[in-house]
Amino acid sequence: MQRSLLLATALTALAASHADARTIFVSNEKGNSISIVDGDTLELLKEVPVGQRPRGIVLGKDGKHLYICASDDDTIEIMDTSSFEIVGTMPSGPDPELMVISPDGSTIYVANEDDNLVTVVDVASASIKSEIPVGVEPEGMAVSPDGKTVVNTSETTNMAHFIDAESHEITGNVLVDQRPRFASFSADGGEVWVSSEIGGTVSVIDSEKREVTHRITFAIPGVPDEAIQPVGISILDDHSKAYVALGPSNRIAVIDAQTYDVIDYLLVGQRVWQLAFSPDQKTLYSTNGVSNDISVIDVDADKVLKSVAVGRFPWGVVVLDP
Amino acid sequence: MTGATGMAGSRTLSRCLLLAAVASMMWSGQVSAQAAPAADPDWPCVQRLLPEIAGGMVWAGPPLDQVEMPDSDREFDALARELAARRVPIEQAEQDIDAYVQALNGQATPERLAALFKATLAIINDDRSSIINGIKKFSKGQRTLAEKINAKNQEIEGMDRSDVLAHDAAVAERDWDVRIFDDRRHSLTYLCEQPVLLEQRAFTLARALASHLE
Repeated sequence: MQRSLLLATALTALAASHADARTIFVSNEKGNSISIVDGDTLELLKEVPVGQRPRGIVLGKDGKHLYICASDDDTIEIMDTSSFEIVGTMPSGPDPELMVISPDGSTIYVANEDDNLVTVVDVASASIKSEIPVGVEPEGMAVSPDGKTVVNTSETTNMAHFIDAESHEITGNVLVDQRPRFASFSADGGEVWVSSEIGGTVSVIDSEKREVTHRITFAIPGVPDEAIQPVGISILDDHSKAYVALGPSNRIAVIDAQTYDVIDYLLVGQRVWQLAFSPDQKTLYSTNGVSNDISVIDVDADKVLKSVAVGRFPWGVVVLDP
Repeated sequence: MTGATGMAGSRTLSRCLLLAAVASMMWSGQVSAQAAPAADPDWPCVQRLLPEIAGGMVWAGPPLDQVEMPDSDREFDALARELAARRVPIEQAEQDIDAYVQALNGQATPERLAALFKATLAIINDDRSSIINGIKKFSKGQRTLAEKINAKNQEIEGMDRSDVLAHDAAVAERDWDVRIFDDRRHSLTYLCEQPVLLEQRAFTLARALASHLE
């Protein structure tokens, strides 16, 4: 009893003291957990057990809650970002994999891979607002900075679907390369970048014209083409550079976002999957599924600073500043 | 008694039909949405088949294809074998690397460490290649068994039920095959993890060696 009281006090102290520091949240697909890393000391603070097969994670607008796709439990779990406790759940539709939150924080869009749907969840009431039928095996999700357009990519149809956030109608389809995995809007909303895992490319789509304007390809000396599988994308708000995770090639491509040329390849960890910037965009974090770690990258220098061991098969990553 | 057997038999049959259908789909590569299209039909794992761990995937030091290997050096060869061996815990292998670098007393040039990694990776790739062949053989075996179960199901459906002995014998044979199929199916996840574990080992060793490059 005394011991558990002591432990509880220590944990509370830890949580309280940590409120001042940057926190990195990582979902571990096979570990069924969220790893919590101190963003200042880069030490693993805690591994919190959550639902089965956690993949996509997003922060609520006020940063108080982390939303977690528990894919095999067909639900979204809600974690309190101060106490690191699961405080509730929300419906997600079946097999939620990846989700995005609208800029105003009111709506979450979930890709339901098995049911060819995008589920629209109202955050305040924790209820499903709508289900939008899309292409086969929806995967990547992005929402425009003005919140008016949602983009979903479907793996089998090889399309990026543009969806009107108001009417929930599909307003355009753009063909991209094979197995599109991830989509991201530029900060000005003018472009959508879509990675194609099998095609090995990133398509840059003009979001107004709904056409592919650039197709970025990758080649790494000593690495077979089939190991270059683009997944996560992060574009700097000033549109100077973008970063693309290249799966089992274990590299992140650094792209000049003005010329669309690849300027460097950074060796990170194994099967690099998703990326996230710190809020000040000075640091980039990557999840490395097979080496069970995250890499910390200095954005100015494009240098890998450190690897931090997390849980089994890290998948999603988000960063919260105090 | 007959009724009970019949019910149990029909439950088994529907389960068999389902399994066989899933099996033939799975072993023709249709079930795993994550398997690459037009990939090797004998590759049953979700992970895309990479036949070899290319040096560039894990190693950022001097290019391995330009590295010269040392003339017969027993200690070097033995260390490469030790580092590659799955029986040796990875922590032990990391300590072996540290000890090797210390023993070289400042002579651990990037080229020498690259050569050690190249030799180690070659052994790991040989090992991995045998595992991959084993998985493909396993996959072919499962496909053959799934086809046999399908054929037996059709045979049972067309049988004259009045020949109870022949019917029961056919059902028993099919049930046995289904059991074997099912048992083997459960080991697929484990099998598919084996090449990945070797990728992990290669990467960890590359990282440990690279830490001595600077």
